[in-house]
Amino acid sequence: MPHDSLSTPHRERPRRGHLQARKLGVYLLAVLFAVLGLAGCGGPGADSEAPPEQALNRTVTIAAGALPSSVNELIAQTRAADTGLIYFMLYLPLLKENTDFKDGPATFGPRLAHAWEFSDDRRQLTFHLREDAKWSDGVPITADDVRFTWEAQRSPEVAWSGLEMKTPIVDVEVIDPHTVRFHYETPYANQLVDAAQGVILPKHVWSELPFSAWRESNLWFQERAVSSGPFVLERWQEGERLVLRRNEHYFSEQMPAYDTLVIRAVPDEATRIAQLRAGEANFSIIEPAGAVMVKEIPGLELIAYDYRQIGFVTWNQRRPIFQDVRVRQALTFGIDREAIVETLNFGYSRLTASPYLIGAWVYNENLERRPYDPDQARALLAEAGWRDTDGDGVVDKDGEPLRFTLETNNESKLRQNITVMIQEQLSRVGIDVEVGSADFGALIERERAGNFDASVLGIGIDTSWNLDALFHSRSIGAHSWNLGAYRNEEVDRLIDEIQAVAEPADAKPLHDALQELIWREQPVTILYQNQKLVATQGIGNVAPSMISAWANVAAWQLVDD
Amino acid sequence: MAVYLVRRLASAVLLLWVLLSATFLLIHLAPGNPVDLMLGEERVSVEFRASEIARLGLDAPLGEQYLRWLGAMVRLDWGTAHDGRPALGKLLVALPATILLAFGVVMVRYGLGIALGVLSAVRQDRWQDHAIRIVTLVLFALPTFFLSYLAIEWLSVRAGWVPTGGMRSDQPPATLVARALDILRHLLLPALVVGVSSCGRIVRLVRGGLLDVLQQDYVRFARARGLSSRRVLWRHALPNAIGPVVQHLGVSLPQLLSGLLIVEIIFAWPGIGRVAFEAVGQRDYAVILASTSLSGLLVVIGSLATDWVHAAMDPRVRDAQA
Repeated sequence: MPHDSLSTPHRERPRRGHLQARKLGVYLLAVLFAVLGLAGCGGPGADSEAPPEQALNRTVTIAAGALPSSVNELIAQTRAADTGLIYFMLYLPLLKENTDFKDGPATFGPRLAHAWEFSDDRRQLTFHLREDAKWSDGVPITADDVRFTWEAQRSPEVAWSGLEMKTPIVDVEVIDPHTVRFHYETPYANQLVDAAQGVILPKHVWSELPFSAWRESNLWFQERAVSSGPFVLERWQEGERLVLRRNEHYFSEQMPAYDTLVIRAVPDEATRIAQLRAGEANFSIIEPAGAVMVKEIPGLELIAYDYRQIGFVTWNQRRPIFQDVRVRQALTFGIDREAIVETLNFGYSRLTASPYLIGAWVYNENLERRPYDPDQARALLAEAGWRDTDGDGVVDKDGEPLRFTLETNNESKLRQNITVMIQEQLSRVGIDVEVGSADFGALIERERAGNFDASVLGIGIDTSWNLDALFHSRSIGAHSWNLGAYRNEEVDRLIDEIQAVAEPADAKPLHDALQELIWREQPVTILYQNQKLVATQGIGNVAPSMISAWANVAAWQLVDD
Repeated sequence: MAVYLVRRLASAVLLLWVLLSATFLLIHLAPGNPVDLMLGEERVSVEFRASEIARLGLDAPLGEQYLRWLGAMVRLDWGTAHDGRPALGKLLVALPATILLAFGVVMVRYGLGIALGVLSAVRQDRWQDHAIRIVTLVLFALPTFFLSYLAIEWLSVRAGWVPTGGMRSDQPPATLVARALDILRHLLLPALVVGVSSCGRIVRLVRGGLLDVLQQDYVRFARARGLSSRRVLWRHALPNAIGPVVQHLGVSLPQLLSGLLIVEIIFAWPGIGRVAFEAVGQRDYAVILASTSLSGLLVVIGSLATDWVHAAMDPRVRDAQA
C-alpha cells in the first residue's frame, strides 16, 4: 500500500475517487427506487386494489385538517371528522333528528326505520325497518343488526363514550327481521332520543370480532367497513386520504351526483386554501382569520354557519366580589362584546344574551342584550360601594381594590386575545384585571376545585335544552360545568320543572322565565354564539349543519364550468 | 477497535436513556391529561372519564408509570397509540415517506451545493462568486415556511407545474413507472424548498476545499503535464476536496430524518414528523415517546456509523481512541 501511494499518487487517487463517485451514483439511484417502491406501497390496505381508470370523471375532494380516527363509531375519537364520516357518509341511524328546532321541539325523521310507535305505558318502543335497506355488500339490514348494535353499545369492553344513553334501554327484542322492540324500565322524556342515538352496525361482518378486541382493532374495521350510507370506503391511506365511492346499494332516492369522494389530510390551513385556488380541492373548513383572505379570492365561496357553541365569561361566585349581582351586571356592561366579535372573530360570531341557540324555539326573543355602556357600569359599581377613593384609577371598597385574574385555556389563541381585550375594556371602568392561561384540562380541574377568579371558555349546547350542567346548584364542583358555583333556588326549580314537563313544547314559558332570570342575574357573561366557516370551490348546494360541516355531503353538486 | 465500538455503544445507550426519560418526565409533568383533551368541551359522564384514564394507565403514580414504560421499552414494546394501534407501527408506516423526502432534499442540497461550490471556487472573487454567496445566504436566512409558501404560490397555484402538497395523486396511475413519476412530481416542491434553502453550507465547504486543493502541487503538476483544466478540476481536484461534504452528509442525514416536521405539515407530506405533531396535539404519550425514541435511535446510529467509517478510514482516529 505505501508503495502504491508513493508511485502514482495523483493519478490513482483521483481515479479511484471518480470510480467511487460513479458507484455512489448507481447506489443512490438504487436507494431512490427502493424508497419510491416502499413509499408507493404505503401503509396496509393502500393501493391493494388499484381501480381501473374509468368513470372517475366526477370527484369531490375535501381538504381536511385531520382525517377521521375510525370507521367504527363506538371506538372512534370524538373529532368533527369522525362524526362527519360515520353519520353522513358511511352509516345510518334508525332515525335522524331534524333541524326544525326553530319552530318547536326537534322532530325525528325516518332513516333505517320508516315507522315507530310507543306502547300505551310507554315502556316499549317498536321500530319498523325499511325492507329495501341493504348493506353495501348486498346483505339486507335487519333487526338482528339493531340488537347487535345495542349489545356493542352497552358492552363495558367496548367502552363507548355514549354508553349511558343506552343504560335505560333494558332489552332490544327482535320481533321479526324488520321489526324490533326496545324495552324500558320506566318512561322518561328522552326515550326516543336515546334509542335513535348511534348508527346501526353490520352484525354479519363485525360480530366475527369479540367485543374485548374492538378497542385494539381499528385497522380490522377499516378493512371491513361494510356500510349502509351513501358511500363505501374504498381506500384508507393513513395520514394521507380516504377515498370513498358511491354506495350503489344505498336505498335512498338521494344518490350522490358524483362517484368519488376524497377526504385528504392537509394539516396547514394556508395549504388548504392554496389547494382550493389551484383547483385541487373543493371544500375546506377555515378559521375566521383565513376567511378575510378567502373573501378576496375569485372562484372561492365562503359559507358561515351557526355552530352549537357559546363563548362566555364565568365569574367565580365563591369570591365575595362576584357575589353582588350589581357587580356582575356592571362587568357585562363594561365588556364591549361587539368589539370582540368584530375584531377578534372577524365578525364571524353572533352576539347573544341567551345560553340557548339563537332562533331555537326555546330562545327568548324578548331578551334584550345589554349594550356596551361604561357609564352604566361605573354607576352600578358605585351603587355596590366600589368607588375610586384613592385616585389610582382602580375602584375600591373598604380599602380593597377591585382586582381579579381572568384566565382561559392556552390552546385557544382567540380566547387568549379575548382576555386581553376584556382586560383593557374593564380598566376603563376602574377594574384591574390580570390575564392568565393554562392547559384546558388543568384549568378545568382547578376551576372545579374553585381555585380561580374568572375565566373565558366555550361550551357545546345541544338540543336537549337542559341547563342543569351549567347553572343548577347540584352541578357545582366535581365533574360538571357550573364552574362559578352559581346557586339560585329559583333557577334550580325552573330547570327541574322544565325536565319534568311531559310534553316538551309546554315548557316554553318556563324556558323564557329561566332565560330572563339568568339574564338578570348574570352568573356568567355570555359573549357570543360561535359561527364556523367553510370555503368551497367548484361545488354547490353545500349546507353545513350544527352537527357537522359535512352534513349534506351526499347532496353536494359539482358545478360544471 | 472492538473496545472502541463497545465504549461508543454504551455511551449511545446511556444517551438514549437520558433523552427518553427526560421526554417522559416532560410530557407527564405538563398539566392536563390526554383524556380531557380528547373529550374537549363535550360533556361526558364521570365514569367514562375515569375508565378512559384507567385504560391509558394514567391512574398509577408517576414513578410506577415510568418503571412500567421503561420495562416495556427494554422488551422492545413501544406502547399503544390512542387509536389502539401499536405506536411503533404508526411511525413505521410513515417512515418511508420521510426517508424519501430526506433523500430528495439530499439530492437537491448536495447536487446544487457542489455545482455552485465549484462555480464559486473557479470564479473566485468575481461577480458569480459574490452573487452565489449573497443568494445562498439570503435563502439560508429565510424561514422554511416562508419559502414553502412562496414556492406553493408561484410554482403550484400560479404556474400549475406541480401539486401543492401530498405525496401522490388521489387516484394512483396504473403502471408502476407512472406511480413512481407521480410521487417524484409531488416530491419536487418540498425537496426543492429544503434543499435550496440549506445548500449554502455545502457551497462554502466545496468552495473552501477546492480552493485549498487547487493550490496543491499535484494539481499544478497535472496542469503542467498538459491536462485540460476541466479534467483537472472534475477528476483530480474535486474528489479530493469533497471529503468534508461526505462527512457533513453522514452527520446531517439522521437529523434530516427527524427535522422535516414543518415541511411535512405545510406540504401535507405523510411522514413521521406529522405523526409526531398530531400526537403532541392529542397528548398521545406512547406515540410521542416512540417518535422521540425513533429519532434518537436514528441520530445515535447515524453518528455511530459516521464515527466508525471515519475511524476505519483514518488510522489516527482509530488509534487515538482505541
